[in-house]
Amino acid sequence: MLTHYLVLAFLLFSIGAFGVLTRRNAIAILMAIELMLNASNIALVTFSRLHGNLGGQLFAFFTITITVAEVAVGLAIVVLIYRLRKTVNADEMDFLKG
Amino acid sequence: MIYFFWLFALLALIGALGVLLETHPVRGALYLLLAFLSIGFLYILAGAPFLGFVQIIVYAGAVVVLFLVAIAVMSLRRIPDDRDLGPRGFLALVFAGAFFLVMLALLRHAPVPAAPTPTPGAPQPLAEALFRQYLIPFEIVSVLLLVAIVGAIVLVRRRPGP
Repeated sequence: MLTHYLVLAFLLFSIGAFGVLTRRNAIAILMAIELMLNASNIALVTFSRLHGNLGGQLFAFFTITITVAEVAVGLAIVVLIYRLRKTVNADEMDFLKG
Repeated sequence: MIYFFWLFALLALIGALGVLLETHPVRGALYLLLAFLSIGFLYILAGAPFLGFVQIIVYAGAVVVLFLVAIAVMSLRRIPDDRDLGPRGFLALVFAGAFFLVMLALLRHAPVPAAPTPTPGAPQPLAEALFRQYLIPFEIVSVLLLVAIVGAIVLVRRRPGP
């Protein structure tokens, strides 16, 4: 039964990875990253349950916190780039290129 | 119990596929909301009720709203040619599929504990572990969150023109 949770986590992670690799909209890429992080959280919670160890759940807490920080900073960067360049297309965000 | 698992797993997958396939940003964010809510209920089913509620409050509440606010600030529409389904899309499909198959094979051969022990998922043992054993990481993470919030504000603040 609990292995079903792991399979779900793998599926969500793969879907998120596919989204990160194929989408061009920077907002959509951030959403797909969220999916991947959630998938890893499901795996952590499942392992926590399997081994009867609370460490997994606490790691999921820390992951959630760090994800929120990442979303806040990431969205701020996207909004800033949109103000400067009027685009959210990740393929056009190449101005660090020499 | 098992029916609820299948229901929420299906909803989470629908949400994830919606995030993947929907090119309108607002609808994508709403699919993300569906995925986050279902995952929260899955945590509750998996015996981690506190984490489930945190998931619903923080992800379904805060993060999705943050995405929607950002989309509204930029008044984003569909961007043309959002999905890259050329050679890069094919490589991405190969990578994602290979990852999934490798993880499944690992799961098949990994020693999964036979009898899952009933987990203490209630808030009290979690809080005790968080504030005793994991006190230093907790404090560091709270400082990190503060730094991120201040950083985000500083980044998007409109500076007075030069």
